[in-house]
Amino acid sequence: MGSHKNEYDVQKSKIFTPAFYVFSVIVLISVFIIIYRYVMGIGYVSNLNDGWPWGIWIAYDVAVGTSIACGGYVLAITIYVMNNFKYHPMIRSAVLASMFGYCLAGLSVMVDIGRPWNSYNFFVPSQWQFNSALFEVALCIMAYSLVLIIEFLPAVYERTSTLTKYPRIAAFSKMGYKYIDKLLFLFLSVGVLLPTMHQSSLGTLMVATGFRLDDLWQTNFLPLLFLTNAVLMGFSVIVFETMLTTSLFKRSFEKEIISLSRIIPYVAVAFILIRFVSLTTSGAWGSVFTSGTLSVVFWLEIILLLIPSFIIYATQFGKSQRGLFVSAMTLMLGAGLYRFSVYLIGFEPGPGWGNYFPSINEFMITVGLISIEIVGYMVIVKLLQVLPNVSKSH
Amino acid sequence: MKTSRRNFLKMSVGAATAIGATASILPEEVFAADKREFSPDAVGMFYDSTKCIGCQACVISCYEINFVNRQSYIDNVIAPEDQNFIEREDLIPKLAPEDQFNPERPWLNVQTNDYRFRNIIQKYVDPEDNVHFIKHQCMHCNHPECVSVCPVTALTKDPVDGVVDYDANRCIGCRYCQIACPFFIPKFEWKRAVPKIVKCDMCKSTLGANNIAGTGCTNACPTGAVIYGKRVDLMKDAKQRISNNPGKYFKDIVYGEYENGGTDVIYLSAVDYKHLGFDERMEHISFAETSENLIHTIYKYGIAPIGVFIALVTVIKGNINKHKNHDDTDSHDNNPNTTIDKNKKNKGGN
Ligand code: SF4
Ligand code: SF4
Repeated sequence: MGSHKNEYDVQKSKIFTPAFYVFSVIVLISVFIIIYRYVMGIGYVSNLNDGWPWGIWIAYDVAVGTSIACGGYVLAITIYVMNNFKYHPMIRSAVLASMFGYCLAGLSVMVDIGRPWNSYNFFVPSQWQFNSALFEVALCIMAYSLVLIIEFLPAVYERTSTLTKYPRIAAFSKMGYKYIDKLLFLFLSVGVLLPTMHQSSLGTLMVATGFRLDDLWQTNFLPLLFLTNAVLMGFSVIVFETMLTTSLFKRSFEKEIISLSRIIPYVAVAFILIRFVSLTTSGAWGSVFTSGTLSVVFWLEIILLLIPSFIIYATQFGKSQRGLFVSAMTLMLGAGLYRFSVYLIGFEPGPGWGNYFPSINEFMITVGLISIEIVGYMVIVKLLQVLPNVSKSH
Repeated sequence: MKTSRRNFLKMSVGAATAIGATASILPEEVFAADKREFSPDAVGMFYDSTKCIGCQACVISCYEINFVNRQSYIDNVIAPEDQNFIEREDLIPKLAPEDQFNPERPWLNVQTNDYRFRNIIQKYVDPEDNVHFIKHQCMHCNHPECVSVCPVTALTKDPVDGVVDYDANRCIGCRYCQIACPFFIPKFEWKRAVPKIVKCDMCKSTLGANNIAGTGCTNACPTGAVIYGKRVDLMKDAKQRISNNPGKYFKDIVYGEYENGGTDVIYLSAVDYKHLGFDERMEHISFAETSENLIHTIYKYGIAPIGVFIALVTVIKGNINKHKNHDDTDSHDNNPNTTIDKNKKNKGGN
């Protein structure tokens, strides 16, 4: 196992750490709340109401969550489309995180929707609805989750093919590994196409709300903005994750990440430029100082992207482990805030509905889903060859 | 890093391919007006605010037909044995805890339309202390946002009578219809394990399809403030009232003639509609039109996704092969570990 020549490595540390137990307890609590939600109804666990039909389960878990899970997407573009195979060792951990992100967004949708037993309608052609962006988003997210699982399977097969006690499983794994390797280009192509489609459609989704989304965000550029935002988020997340695993697992610093991070300022500036163009076409410049809280949120989004981009672009601090970590985190906040605004902050609930703030139970379900991701990630990198092998000579 | 600029350039070329799908979003058709024709047989309701006395008989009639006794009304339309058990369950009126009978406050608490009231009356007192009433229910838009966004076609607009109807057997409960409706109409049963969307269907489900006898609310109205009929006739009636009473109605407009692309339910009122709960930013084309144009421009004939996919397959396959040949000097056996090892010597691949 884990020959020294390999690109990837098993993280050799204890699985049952205190953190493991803490997160597992959170997961358990949220499972109880989810059961309660199914028995009683959504209104008993959440603060959602007819004015605020979508809350953090959609705005965070789906809109922001899937963009955080775009690490696998941008890395696949960088490596296989742009032919930068030097980043290849990082792909597995990114795919693993993306897989969790997408599957959990799907799970969260199942908690959020009121009549999940009717979801089979997505597969009934007579019910297909090509006018609905949500239809496309739903199908693409389901399909992409599957693609991500397939893309990750080789890591599992590597492990199971060495199970000499179970020759059947080992033989099957070897075969599976071979086929996936052969068809990898297909899975990768689909795996780049699908996020391109649904990440932009996540933006299109709010176009139909018209004036119910504030001028500062409502624009026909929403699909383009969401796509650019996803790419920006993807790069930031990769940097963030790498820095986090580096410091948590006390691994040595992967220098590759510095060169990867150089792209970020360009994407961020592109995003902000498109944003400004869209403000011009929708004539919303007038509201950038006059909409109270909304204007503050608007500027916060911009600042949270500009400052870290500048740090990465121009300063020495931006090349240090610490600087990269902080910058990436700020970028994620800024990019995430944008999505949050489109789905929640800038949304008009209708006369008399006041503000929405998630209830504790609602919040706990989201935290629980995030905890599943963290626990799953921590355990899997300690079982399978996922993280880049930094000990190999460069 | 010297390579970063080059990477970025390459990156943008690739991104351009990917974004190609969305970059074509701005031909003028995105901004075209709503071209959808009304069905000549579309039915609708016409509410004249100046005739309404605020008695709320319509509200109670609707509550009785569509909430309290919904089950027995529906049994007349669909035989009980033809309903599945979830449909049966859906028909049982279930009050949320906060709406149940409270001896200390025994009156109904109705603020807006909700899962019990598909139709409500609201009051507006203008600065001269004149009282104006407004009836709120689904407008049965000609190009409804709710129908356009529903991912599973649970909401449909009848091509003949124009009624926007809801099918709980299809609905997944995603509430996108609530998000998209510019009149804030669809409501959801939040305090229920088997929740459904609730909105006016012009009593189609309870009083029967194409009922010519009118809806629960129009039959109950004692002053004829709200009447039922074909949209064309109602529109004529409304225009007649305007020309008979110049200056009586706000700006001499029939609300719903063009608003949101035109609606089957139309209004007359003496005051500005913005005081009556209608948003000023309503446009004469439906936002569904805007978003559908956007979606269908991006995905026209599936050209963009298929094109991007073919480009991706070609590029990715080429790159993987290049990369593999690059490493072919490495010996390898059947061990998967070493198969992956092939990538190890790579120096950026370019
Ligand atoms: S008023 Fe709202 S719910 Fe009624 S048809 Fe129009 S968009 Fe749909
Ligand atoms: S809640 Fe039901 S009716 Fe409304 S959009 Fe979703 S699936 Fe359609």
